[in-house]
Amino acid sequence: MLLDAVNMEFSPRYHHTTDMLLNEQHIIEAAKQNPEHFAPLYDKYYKQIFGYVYQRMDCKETAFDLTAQVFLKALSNIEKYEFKGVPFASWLYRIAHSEVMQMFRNNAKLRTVNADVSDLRHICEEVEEEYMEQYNGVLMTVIKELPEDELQLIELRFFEKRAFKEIADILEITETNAKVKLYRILERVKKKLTKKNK
Amino acid sequence: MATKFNLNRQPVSDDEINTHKDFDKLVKKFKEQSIEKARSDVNFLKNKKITYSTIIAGATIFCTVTYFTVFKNQ
Repeated sequence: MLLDAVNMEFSPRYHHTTDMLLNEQHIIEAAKQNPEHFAPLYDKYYKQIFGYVYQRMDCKETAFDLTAQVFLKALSNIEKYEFKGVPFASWLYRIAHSEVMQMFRNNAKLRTVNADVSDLRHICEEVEEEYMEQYNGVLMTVIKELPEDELQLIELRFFEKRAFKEIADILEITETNAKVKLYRILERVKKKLTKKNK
Repeated sequence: MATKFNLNRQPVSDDEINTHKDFDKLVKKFKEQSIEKARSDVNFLKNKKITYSTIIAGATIFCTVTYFTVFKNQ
């Protein structure tokens, strides 16, 4: 079952064709010359970036402010952007992640994890545990105790239902590495879950 | 870092997200930021301390290079 988590793909939204990537690259080049040309990228990714930011915090207004900050930072640094054959979104997600973490450090706000019960059920299934409602509390405690990089992986995969390719691009690791890391985290979650249930 | 866990939070509607989407505001902020940055760059170059430090550093390098060139020739 653990291996199923590794092999299963969730959402096809991230997979761009070569034409789509090249078209995006043209827009980026145009935006480097004139900020007004950034509009298509802003329209395309605003909702996704807001979703990413809001997933990690409680306050909606702060999430909107931070999303604006992410795009301002992206526009300010677009000259430094280098096309590496992956969608522009992965660069935006990295900026968003660093902005979110910076906000937590500066304002001592609570890091928030948002999930549905169905997501927790899914994790239970992945770690070969039969899901029961009373597992929710245990699982939430186990997830809260994970270090930030591991929590990030669980969030991206199970709560945001991203494909491994996308996760790898966001975290700047290989797809295999992302799978191996997640496999190890799930093994540890399984151990903790079994221990806490005894 | 302390972590809070929310279960089954209400998602934000597309309408609400779209009301906050404002590309013109973003471009305006970007232009203001660029002007501000250009001003601070000019101020940095106009800063007397920076100017004098650069002159002193340049003179020191010039003197050192000259001294060693002459010394080597002797």
